[in-house]
Parts: sequence; structure tokens; C-alpha cells
Amino acid sequence: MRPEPAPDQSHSQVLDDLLAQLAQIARELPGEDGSLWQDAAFQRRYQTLRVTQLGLTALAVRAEGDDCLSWALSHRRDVLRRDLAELAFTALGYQALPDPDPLLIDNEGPIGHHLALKIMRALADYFEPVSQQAEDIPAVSAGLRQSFKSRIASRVFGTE
Amino acid sequence: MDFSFTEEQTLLQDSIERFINHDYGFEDRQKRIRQEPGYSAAAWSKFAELGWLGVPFAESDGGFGGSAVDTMIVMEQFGKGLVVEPYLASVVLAGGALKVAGSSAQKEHYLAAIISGTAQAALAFVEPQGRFNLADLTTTARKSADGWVLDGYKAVVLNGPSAEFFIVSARTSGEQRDSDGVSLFIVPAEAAGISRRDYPTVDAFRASEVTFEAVALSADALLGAADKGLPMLEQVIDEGILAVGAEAVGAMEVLYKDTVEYCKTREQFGQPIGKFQVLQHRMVDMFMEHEQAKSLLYMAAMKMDEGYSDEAKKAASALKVQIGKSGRFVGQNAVQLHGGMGMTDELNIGHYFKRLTTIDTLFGNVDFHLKRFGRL
Repeated sequence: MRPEPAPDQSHSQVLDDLLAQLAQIARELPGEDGSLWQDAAFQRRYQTLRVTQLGLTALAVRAEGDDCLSWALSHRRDVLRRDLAELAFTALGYQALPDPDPLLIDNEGPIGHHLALKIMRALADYFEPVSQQAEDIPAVSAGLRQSFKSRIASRVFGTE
Repeated sequence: MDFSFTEEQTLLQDSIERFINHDYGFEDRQKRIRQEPGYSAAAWSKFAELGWLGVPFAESDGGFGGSAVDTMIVMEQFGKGLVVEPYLASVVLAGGALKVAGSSAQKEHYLAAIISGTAQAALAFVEPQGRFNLADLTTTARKSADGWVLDGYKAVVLNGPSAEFFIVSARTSGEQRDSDGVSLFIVPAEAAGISRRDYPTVDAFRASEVTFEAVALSADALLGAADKGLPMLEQVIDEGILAVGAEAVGAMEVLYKDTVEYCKTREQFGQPIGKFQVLQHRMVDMFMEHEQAKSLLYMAAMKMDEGYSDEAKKAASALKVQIGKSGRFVGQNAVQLHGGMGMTDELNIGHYFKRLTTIDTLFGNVDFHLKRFGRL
């Protein structure tokens, strides 16, 4: 059974949690000099995502009762989730690849970094309720984003 | 969080919007920037008369109320009109320094003159070697028998040519980049030992390179406590970030709306180019960038009004990152969708883009504020 679509505050909370997990992973993984957390390129990408998340938290307040801003918010969250997944892949390297049965993990312990499977699963789980909320549009990321854009164009610009 | 405006704030917004729409056309602006002093003295008097020069200041200092949200409202409308009058330099920055650090006597003398429109000022805080580091100072002030002696050089002093006095950051102790040992001074522009080289900036504002050679200052020229000027300067700059953030949001709104209107009328292949989905989606991206920046702006203004804390600093840096990115995206795409016309002097689009590009650099660019945001 699919989880219930998350209300707006939950979206923010989930993304905040994912960002916090990623920060913890980066502090524990090695980088070029010291930990990955101290890597300038990683920091730049990570802090950019945090700024985006802060902006979306504020946008969520303005989007209440406004269709266009809600569509813009959904679209932007989708893009943020994608960027977050990319950065998690970059951070974890090979350890992002395993996709074992959860029972195996319960019985034999984690594969690789202890948070690797958790964050990759969380990113996948987060995507499910988002796609369901968008009127059951199939969870094809590109299609979802374009449909939001077409709706906004029609409503805001009056274009067909 | 509640982003709705009070009745007074809505009235303020409406009155400035009316002024921009009726009395501040693009052609008028272009005439103003070609003549000295580079803006309209009549418009400046009107700003004073309508009380707009007092918006960022407390009623006890003769101002309008002094909330960050109020200043944001003014600057967002000014951004829509691409206003060249030196509100940022004189009111927000120099006036802001007096607001944050001034004694009662200093406020009575200098701040009152700014609010009434009888004097203009400039904040001289940039040095060529310092990049965006406010503490990196080679300008020095040493104690003399009856006050201070100022020596040094300040670059890109916004509104330098029209300023009756400068607020100058100088090192009074410590090493070149130390956090402690920075002090602020009020310096009359006509004081002996000051020389200026004036010039226009790429976005049609005016600025100066200012040299101070053994400038004698009285003891009461010191603004705030000696050696403790850096936190005050940092607060003024963060309030400046909020102001230019609002200006940028106003400018972005005009850019995306003008682009939509243009695409509805410009025909290609027998139909308006706005019918092409690829262009519609690009305009939606512009709309979303604007709305995201506007949301962060509202949040940053609210944080600033809750008190100048680490949270407020963080929100200011986040806003600066967002307007840097969004401004570039919206500006570049407005130019692209207008085609060659977007680059001409006759059309407003290129001028908005120039202002957004300047705003990205003012007070620290995207890279600088990403690092600061991460540190806070």
C-alpha cells in the first residue's frame, strides 16, 4: 500500500531530514584532503541545495490557496529531490549501488556506509507520494515537470 | 510565517507603484542618467516630501517606522522602475550606519538631514585588495591630540559624487584583516585632504574612488565604539543585501512580464512566438525563479525584523545566493527571448539585466555568500 500523500510541512521536513543525513554521511566519508564535508566542490553543491530548500519552505507559505505557486512548488521540489539524489550518488560512490532485500540487511547488517541504504531508500520513497499527489501522473520525472510548466503557462500567461 | 502586509504597508506600496507607473517612465530615466548629477533632484525632493527617505528609520529618529519589510516594499517598487536616485547608497547604507551606530547627537544632525532630503551621504567601505571581506582594511585612523587622522583609499563609493559626507571604515588597531580594530567615521566630503575621482557605473549609477590624505577629524566623528565597528558594518551590509534583493525581485518581475507580452505579439512562422511550447516553458522557468527569489526575500525581511541574529544573517546570505542565480537566469533569458533588441540601449530589457548583474556583485557574489551561509 502506498503511503498517504504528504502535506506541505511533511515535504519540507522530509527534505530537511535528507539534507541532514547527507551532511552526516559527508562528514564520515573521506575526501581529497580530510573528509568529504571539507571538499569545496561538495560544499558548494550541498549549500546550494540548502538555499533552495529554504526558498521552497518560504514558497510553500505563499503557495497556500494559489494554484500556480503550488504547481511551481511541486515542480521545484521535484528538481531539488533529483539534485539531492545526484549529490547522494556522488557522495556515496560505489556504496550507492547496492539494492538488497531489507531482510538481508536486518539479518546481516548494512552494506557499505551505515547510512547509504537509508538515504537512497528515503529518496526513492519520497518520490512515490509526490507523484501520487500530482493526480496520479505516472512517476516519470521529466513528464511530470513539463506538465506543471504547461499548466502554469496556460494560467499565468494565458497561452494555449 | 505570515507574509501578508499591514494596511499601512499596502498604502506605501500603492503610492510608490503609482509614482513609478505615472512619473518614472523609461525615457525620463534615460534622460536623467545622461545629465548631471545622474538622477532627478526633483524626484529626490518628492521622495523626501512623501516620507520615503525616512522609511527605514524609527519614528523616534524622525523616520517612518523602521521595519525591514517597509524598506523591502520601497526597494521592490524601485526595482520595477529601475530607479537611479541614490536611495540604496544614501538612505539604506549611510543612513543605515547612522541608525545602527549613531549617537543621539549624530542622528539629530546627520540622519535628520538624510530624512529631510537636505543632505546625501555615501558609505565608503570597499578597498581594492579586500574583495568582499569587510575587515580587510589598509585605510587607517590614528588618534591625534584633538581627534583622529584618516589616511587611505576607498574604491567604488556609490553616490560618492553627490555625498555631503561619507561614512568611512578604517583600521584603528590590529592587523589588516583582524575582526577587532575596525572603526567607523563620519567624514565631511569637503574636508581638507580628500580627493575624488567620479565616474558612472555600468548600471548608470554614479560612484567615486576616494583618497584620504592626513584628513583631520574631530573626536565626535567616531561612529559607535572604537575598534568595534565590524559587527555594525556587517549589519548595515546585510540590510543592504535585503534592499538590493527587493530591488532585484522587482526588476525580475518586469523582465518576465515584459518578455511574456513581447512573445505574445512578436510573430514568426505565421504565429506569435509565445505559442511555441519550448518558449512558454522557458518563460515559466523565469516565473518560477522570480517567485522563489521573492519567497526568500519575504522570509529574510521577516527574520531581519525579528532581530539581527545568526538566523537573519543566514537568511540574508541565502537571499543573496538566490537573487544572484535567479537574476542571471531571468536576465539572460529575457535578452535571449527578445533577440537582438534585448541588447539595445533603446529597450529597457538590457538595462534591467545590467542592474541585476551589478546587484550580483554588490556586497558579495554567489560564491562568497554560499560559503558564508555554510559557515553560519
